[in-house]
Amino acid sequence: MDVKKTAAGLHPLERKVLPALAKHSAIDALAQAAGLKDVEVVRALQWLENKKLVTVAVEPRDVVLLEANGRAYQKKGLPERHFLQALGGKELSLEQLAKKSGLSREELNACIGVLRSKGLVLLRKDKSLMIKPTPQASAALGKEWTEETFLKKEFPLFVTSLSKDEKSVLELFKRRKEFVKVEQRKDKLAKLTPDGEKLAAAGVGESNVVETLTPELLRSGQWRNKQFRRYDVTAMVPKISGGRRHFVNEAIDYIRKIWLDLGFTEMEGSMIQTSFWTLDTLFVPQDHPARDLQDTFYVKNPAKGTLPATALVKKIKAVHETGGATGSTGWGGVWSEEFASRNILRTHTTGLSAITLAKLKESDLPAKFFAVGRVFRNETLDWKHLFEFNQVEGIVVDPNANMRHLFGYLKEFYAKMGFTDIKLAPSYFPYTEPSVEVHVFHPVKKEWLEVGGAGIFRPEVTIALLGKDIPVLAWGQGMERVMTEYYKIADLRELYRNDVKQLRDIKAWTR
Amino acid sequence: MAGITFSKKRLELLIGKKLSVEQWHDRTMMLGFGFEGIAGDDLTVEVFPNRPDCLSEQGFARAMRAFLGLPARKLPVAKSSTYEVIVDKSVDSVRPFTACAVVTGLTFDDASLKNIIQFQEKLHATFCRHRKKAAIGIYPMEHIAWPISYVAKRPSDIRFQPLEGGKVMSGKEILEHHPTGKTYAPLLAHAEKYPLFIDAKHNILSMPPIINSEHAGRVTHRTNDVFVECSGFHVAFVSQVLNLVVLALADAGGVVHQVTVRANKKQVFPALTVRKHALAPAYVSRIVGKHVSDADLKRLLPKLGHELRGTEVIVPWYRTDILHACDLVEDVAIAAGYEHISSEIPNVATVANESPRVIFARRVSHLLIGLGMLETNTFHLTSKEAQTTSMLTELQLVELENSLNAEYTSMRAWMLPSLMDVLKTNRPHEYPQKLFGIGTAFGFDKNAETGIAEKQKLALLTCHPKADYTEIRQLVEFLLDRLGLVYSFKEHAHPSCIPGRCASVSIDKQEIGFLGELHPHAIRNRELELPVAVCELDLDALFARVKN
Repeated sequence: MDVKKTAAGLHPLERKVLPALAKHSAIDALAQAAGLKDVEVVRALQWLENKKLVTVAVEPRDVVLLEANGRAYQKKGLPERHFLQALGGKELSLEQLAKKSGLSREELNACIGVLRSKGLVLLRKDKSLMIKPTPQASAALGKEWTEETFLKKEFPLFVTSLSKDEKSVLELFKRRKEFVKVEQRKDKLAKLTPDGEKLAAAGVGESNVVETLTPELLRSGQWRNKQFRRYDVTAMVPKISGGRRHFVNEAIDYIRKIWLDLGFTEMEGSMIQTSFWTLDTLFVPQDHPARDLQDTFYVKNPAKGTLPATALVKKIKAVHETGGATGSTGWGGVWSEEFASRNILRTHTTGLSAITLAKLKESDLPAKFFAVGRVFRNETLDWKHLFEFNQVEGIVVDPNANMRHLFGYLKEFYAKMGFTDIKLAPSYFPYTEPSVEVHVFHPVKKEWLEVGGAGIFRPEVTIALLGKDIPVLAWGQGMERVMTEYYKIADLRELYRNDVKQLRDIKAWTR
Repeated sequence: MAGITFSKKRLELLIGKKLSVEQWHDRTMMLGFGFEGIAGDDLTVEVFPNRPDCLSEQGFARAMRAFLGLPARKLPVAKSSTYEVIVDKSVDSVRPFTACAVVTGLTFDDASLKNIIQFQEKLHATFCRHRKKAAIGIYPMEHIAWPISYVAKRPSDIRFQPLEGGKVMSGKEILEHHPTGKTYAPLLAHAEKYPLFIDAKHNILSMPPIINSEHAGRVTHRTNDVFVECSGFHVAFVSQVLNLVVLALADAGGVVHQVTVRANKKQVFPALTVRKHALAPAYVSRIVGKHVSDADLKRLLPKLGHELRGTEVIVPWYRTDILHACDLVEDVAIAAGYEHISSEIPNVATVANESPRVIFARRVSHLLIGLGMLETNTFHLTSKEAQTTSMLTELQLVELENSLNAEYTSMRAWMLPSLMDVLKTNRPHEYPQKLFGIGTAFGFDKNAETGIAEKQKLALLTCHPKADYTEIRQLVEFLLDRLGLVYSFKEHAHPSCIPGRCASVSIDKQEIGFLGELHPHAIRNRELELPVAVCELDLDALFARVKN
């Protein structure tokens, strides 16, 4: 041990406790000797123990405690002294004595016993019991008795700290009613280690070591002559927390940044849309199961919205029924305007893309758009189903766009999300052809995860909305899966539970 | 989407090749199906709605066989015959069309019976939209006296023993008491007459789209020859569905015979005619992004069951999903293998634009985080109770028609109740809790396309023993000051707040929100035991002000 270095690292509390440890070992005794509070001593001992300067052991020790009578006599003095004083050198009957001293019958009996054994009173049986002091009594009254000295001590007393005489007083007291009791207590006892002793011997009292760098020290320049206490920089400190963004929003911001970095423009739009924009413009047949009540939320009031300008509605109707001017056969049957005007909670963000395409002019091309937004599915809420979740949507409108570009954007996005192993497999969506399902390889779980759909919009979609068959690369990827993987969340509901502890403590999005 | 389990052994027998588990996984996926797994002989795949032909073991095997590059199995052709189905005018108003066929020379065992029933059920559930668009019936030929009539009768005039019915029932009784009848009863809910297939001896074969008769409509191990019908609302569609069933039965070894359906005009089914589609290699090349030649098309198209003849693609009649040349482009890409299409980010410059509204919301969020507040992210769906009564307010909400969750039936009209719900769930956690949330709230707007206004709102609150008006006012002033806005406060009576401890905040006389100490009733309604100071601001209005 480097005595000097260790001494320089002592906290002011340690500095006070260490010298006291030469004589004392119990916390209360140390507190008294060092002029500290018990809690301060405990803290200092903890630190000293960490530094291996002190060992703290729990040892059972016998302590003497005062009981009700003991405490009372400690204040007003022993009854036998009152007894002798009441006698006043004369012989009195027990009744007289009782009246004069105010002692109870029980106390009187106890006093008689004690004083007789000390040879300070004599008894005589007359009509009643007569008591007379002995010649030694007045001398005895003039000095303090060992019992009284004992009572003046501060309790609890450790039995081991008692002298032989005090021990015999204790034995006497133990026989008297509710005077004292002896109990075993488990106290912490601190002892200096050899290093501790060395340090204490070297002296750690007042020094030029300071704890806090005060403005005064700085202003006066006194800091030049001071040493700063060395901290135990490895010691634990209390945890703190502060304001934070919601962790889902942190992830969303990152996702948005990826698309912005790739030159995409952000789309925004309403969450409640007519079926027309969410489904019909996207060539989803009107009898498609996605429109069923158990899949899609329908709005009760107002149940219906209005459709846009008739020219577009006519085109969409034609596309559904016969393929219109797109070269497609369409779905056949009758397309209902009424059904298309139903208000629904958007089931995907692709409706935003449809609206964007409908507004786009050819002179705007090439153009790239993205959105991250809430979508809704009529699911019963449980650990793996949410009725609200986030989707990332993207479209690339470019006469030269093709599947290779689509694959390029998807791979780039997932690589930036931390998934470098990605598989693109054929899939089916009513509004894309070719269609793609994105699978990413989970490096820890060693399994493929299905994360979302993509494709090139069908001519039934693009010709109706853009007026021309320009390839539109499109994707709509669910983000909850990727987020729960990152945050190691097993229950999807946790994403939106807003548990304050989780909001405070969850790891930051560090990608 | 339909998860469906096939016998791996039978598939491999039909394909004529054995595959490892990895190969099954990979090839199934790269052909455009979901691969769920193999357990013993059970191979489970997910068939997407574009390939109803692959809902049968035979159809799936046919597709896989071609994809693996094995020689294509020949498509069946229908033999001409004298079988006739006579369609009565009475069905016009209830279920006007049917397409029918006869398949002979079949042998059924337990497994193949189960397989054909599974196929029929999956077709019904998906492609036929739970029998709404079309319903399929298959009957053993041995009991049938030809010709068959397709006719509609009053429910009370209909009496027969339905499959699994145990006794003779009337049409009405079947819909009311028979389990299958009850399931599909809505499909005939408003019909005055119910459709029937009846043979020449007046035996009822079935009552579509509900159920077959026990007597004439049960296919068994002894059945070799079957009559197949499909009924519905569009000739083209019922004809397509019939073809899918016929293909599965033919691939199981059956011989197909034509049936003449006689309505006001005569039509012969099954209509097993291929379709022709023009497909230019240049179009394919443009979409796929690499050069595809005529020779490539000739080589690749058969892998998906097509054939290139000259400049035209011959599309087999079972491919119901080829609506446009783009569908053939995808098939070419699948045949070439998505895994062989390289990826590229094109070198095209476009300028990114982040939504200014989103940027603004993030700025606000960062200001509040700097004050030590926690951002929340809550659902837009909520309950009327949470939005109104528990907050001591009355509001008209945008409600949902059909939510499966009883506690989430309305759209929120303001953010604060969402934050209060967060406080409620966080009662066990450490205070102070200082929260905010930015989100969309829903109101009404006659001029909006949907009739609904969606606004971005900001709510903030602080909850701890000393939360009060001063504190929330300080937070609001901090925010508005940093946004460079000039504002004023006025005493306000908001039902959620303690009277006399609530203010409205305005910018240029435009009220943009309120703040105050939450009413004890509202606090206790969320089972809280600490004061809450709250504020709600119209973030869109703030944004508009900041922009100016």
